[in-house]
Amino acid sequence: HHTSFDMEVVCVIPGQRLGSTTEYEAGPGTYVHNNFIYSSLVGLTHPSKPQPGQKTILTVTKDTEPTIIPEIGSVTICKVTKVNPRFASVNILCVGTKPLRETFQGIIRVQDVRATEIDKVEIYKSFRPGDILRTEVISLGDARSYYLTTSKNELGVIFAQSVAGATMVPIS
Amino acid sequence: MDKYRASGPEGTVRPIMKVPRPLPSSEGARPSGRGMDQFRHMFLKTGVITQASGSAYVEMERTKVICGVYGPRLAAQKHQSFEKAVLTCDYKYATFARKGKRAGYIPDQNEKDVSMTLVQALESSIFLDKFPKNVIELYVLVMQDDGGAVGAAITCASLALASAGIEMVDLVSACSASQIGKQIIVDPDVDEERNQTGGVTVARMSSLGQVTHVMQTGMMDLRATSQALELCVDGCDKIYHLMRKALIE
Repeated sequence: HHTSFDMEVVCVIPGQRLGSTTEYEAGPGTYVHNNFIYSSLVGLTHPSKPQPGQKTILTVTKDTEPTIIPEIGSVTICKVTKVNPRFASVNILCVGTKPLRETFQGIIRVQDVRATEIDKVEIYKSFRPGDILRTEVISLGDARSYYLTTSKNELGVIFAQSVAGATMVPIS
Repeated sequence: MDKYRASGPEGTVRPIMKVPRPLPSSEGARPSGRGMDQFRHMFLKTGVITQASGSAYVEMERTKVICGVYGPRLAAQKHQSFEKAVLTCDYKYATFARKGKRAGYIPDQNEKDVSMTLVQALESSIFLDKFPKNVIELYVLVMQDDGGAVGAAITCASLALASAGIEMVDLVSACSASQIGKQIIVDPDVDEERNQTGGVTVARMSSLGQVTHVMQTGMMDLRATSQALELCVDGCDKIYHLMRKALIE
């Protein structure tokens, strides 16, 4: 059975046929099989027409928080757990602006702390356990953790507390 | 190994050839009063375990199965794969689940086999390559087994995965059929399963019309097997509609 999805918000389940690729484009939450677009989530359809000439894009979104995991290039918010001369270990708390249900592990290697003078970086002077950082994922890393970097201007420590508990102020 | 209890020999196998015991009723009807191709009433509900990513509960009269899904979350070293997520399952009978036989706390070989069956039946229905390095963990507990527990577990796990919002190709529904003497009956209860000479369990993605898993046990001839498979496929489609209703609400 086939329903027209133009400008109509309908609740769908995975595997439900939404339309054919001749009339619609597949957006997030859908997949294409044999020239038909099917939903891959339980949620509501959101047809959207980006421009008059183009096909309507079908998107399915969940009403609960979407499952997100860190991907290469995504900006994440992390908290430092451990530092050692070669890298700092962090817990990835949020991807973009969305908090994760369960934290992932990441590491920032000494060469990824900043863009300049990377051989003179001292991790102890850059991060402390408990600091909150904004980082970017550079690779899926090894078995235990994602590899992250803070070597861009907008990345780095965003919140830190001193030994006495006072909030520290950024100087660079 | 459970060191404090004396357990029987680990691997005993029943002989394949069985004298089929006739069904108690003389007309050949099922003792429960159901028709040969009549399924039990099913109750499905999602969101029953709040701390899990997704969960579902399936009840078919006296067979009760609950499933919790955790993940996708970062996998331990040995279970990891860089290309896709790993699906693991822990299927367990509650100690009080089966009539007369107390299940132990440690999963035995049968439960481990069913865990693998569940993974096989559900793997192809999830977009695992969207979550590399992650693991999706299914925990299935059979609270009461009155026949068809494996089929109910597959249905329950698929519902739980959908309610967790994990991207899937389609919902998987499953059911089973048994051959007793010359009769094929669908959705056998535990007494009928015990008396069967052969049985078939089918897991199917109804919207795409693809079977994800077939398991056949015992001795069945070709005609009986194909008839049982067809009955199961129809049953799976019916269960799919119930799953759909449960999710949309």
